[in-house]
Amino acid sequence: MRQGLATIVLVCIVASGAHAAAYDDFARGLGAIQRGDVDTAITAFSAAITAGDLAPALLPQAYRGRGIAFLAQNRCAEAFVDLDRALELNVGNPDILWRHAHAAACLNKHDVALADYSRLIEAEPEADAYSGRGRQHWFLADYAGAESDFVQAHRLAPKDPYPVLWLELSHLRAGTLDPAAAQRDVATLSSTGWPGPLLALYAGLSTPEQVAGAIAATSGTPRVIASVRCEGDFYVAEWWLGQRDSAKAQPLLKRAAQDCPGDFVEGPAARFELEHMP
Amino acid sequence: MKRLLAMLALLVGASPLAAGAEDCRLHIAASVTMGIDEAGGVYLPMSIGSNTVNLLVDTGGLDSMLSDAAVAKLGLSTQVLGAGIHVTMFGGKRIDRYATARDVVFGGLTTPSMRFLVMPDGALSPGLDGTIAPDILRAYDDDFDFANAKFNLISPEHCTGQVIYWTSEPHTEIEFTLDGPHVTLPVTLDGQQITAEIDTGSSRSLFTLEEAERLFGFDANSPLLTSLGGGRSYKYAFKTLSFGGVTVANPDILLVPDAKARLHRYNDRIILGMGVLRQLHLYIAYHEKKLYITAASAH
Repeated sequence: MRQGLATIVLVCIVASGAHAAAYDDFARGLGAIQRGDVDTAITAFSAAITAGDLAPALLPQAYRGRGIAFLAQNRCAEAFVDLDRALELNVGNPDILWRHAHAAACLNKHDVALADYSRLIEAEPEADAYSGRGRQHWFLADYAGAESDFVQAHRLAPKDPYPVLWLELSHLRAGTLDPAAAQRDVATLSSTGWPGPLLALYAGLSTPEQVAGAIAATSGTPRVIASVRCEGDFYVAEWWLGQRDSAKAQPLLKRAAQDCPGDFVEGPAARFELEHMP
Repeated sequence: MKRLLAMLALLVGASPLAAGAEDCRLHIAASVTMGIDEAGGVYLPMSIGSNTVNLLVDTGGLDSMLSDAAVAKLGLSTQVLGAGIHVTMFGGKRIDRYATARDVVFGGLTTPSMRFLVMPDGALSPGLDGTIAPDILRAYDDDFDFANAKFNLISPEHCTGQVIYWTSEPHTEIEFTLDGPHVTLPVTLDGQQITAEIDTGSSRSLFTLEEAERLFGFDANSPLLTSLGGGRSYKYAFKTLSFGGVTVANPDILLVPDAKARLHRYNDRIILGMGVLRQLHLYIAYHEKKLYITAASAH
């Protein structure tokens, strides 16, 4: 066992046999996931799964845990297989459905992800599920479907700026972006911080240069700066694509594809765009 | 706060478990398969009318709760607790309403109606609808068989000390104190004796940063202190945590600034969360005020 991991010893208490190993590995995997130690989580959950005698009720959680760890390492194909198995064993579990949708989208299986989000919406119509499905519509070039879902997401989470940003992005792609309407959408948001400069760009109130200035002026932790740069690159690139200027969009998309933090939707979206550029 | 919630009434025959002589058998009042939520907590299904809700098992709570969303999904109406009466959650959120559910079934226990406090949305992992708390849990013995994903409510009417049914291997027994409905016991953390509370509703173990700094003599510049989440919580390289016959090496304890936790009456105690507890087979005998513990996978 790696140094630094929490271990527990029951004085004079010994658990023995393969059954003990399976659960102990499972518990070690859960602890590792909580600490963000995905390497240990993959090893521990793999041992718990292959031991063969983990309690049946825990098996879907073991696949789910390993799937989450694979996703954190961007190993989307392995994550998808595990989360598929977890979903077979625990049909309709919302948490597994979320992860399954994420893995499917990561593999460009947007129709699968769209179906997952639809099931989530059916179970509980949440803003995040509408936003997730809206993005799948967008990937599938169904911009009317995307617009409809982002409108719903904005209705359910009126203070969240990202459904509005994706709504304007969908309008742009559909050729229906109306700066005056975008200004009205943006005006419903109370926040003036990031991603305000991006919203202003889509509303015709700012320029890519001004957005670049806002990004350069951002301060905070490395994570915050990387996040702002990632989003700035992607959404400004999309704006350039809307102006039919691929030359300006391409380097921004390349940087977003490469540098966006692993859990940001803009990274896979940038890769998708690069793959589909002429 | 005055006790508001009704206990589940035992309306079905209890199933016996062998634990020693025939007249000392344990009687299971309810047996339910546990699920594990996104954060590593355990939850249990409960039927309310024709719906099923998933409730986090929260030994650190007061009364069982339903989220606002669950109350809406179930179509329940809410009432205020009373003028000036409220409950404060971890993090400072206030609860001042309750809802009455009808036709409640929990692992074979039934009751025609039961009151739940109404908690704000966003405090639980996705897919969870509320909590099941000591208003129900402490009426029975609680048997957490994590390795088999089973939770049993067991009748407290049994022979004293005759509860270890799951193994013939050695076990440890720890006497505890009830602080209100909460199970507290002395633990030793790196040589310092501290009060700990058993809290299955907390996915990780917690301690207030300020109290840890005072007890262990470190400050914000200590190389053993690591900031997590931009100062929302911290990790300190503790070496051992022990209680009864249990020793945890390199315990995973999050240190939370009191300004974030905002539970001032608890700032001198460690919350023992699921990171530690899931490694045990934990039997809480509330009436005996005793914990019976083996390794989770002892059988």
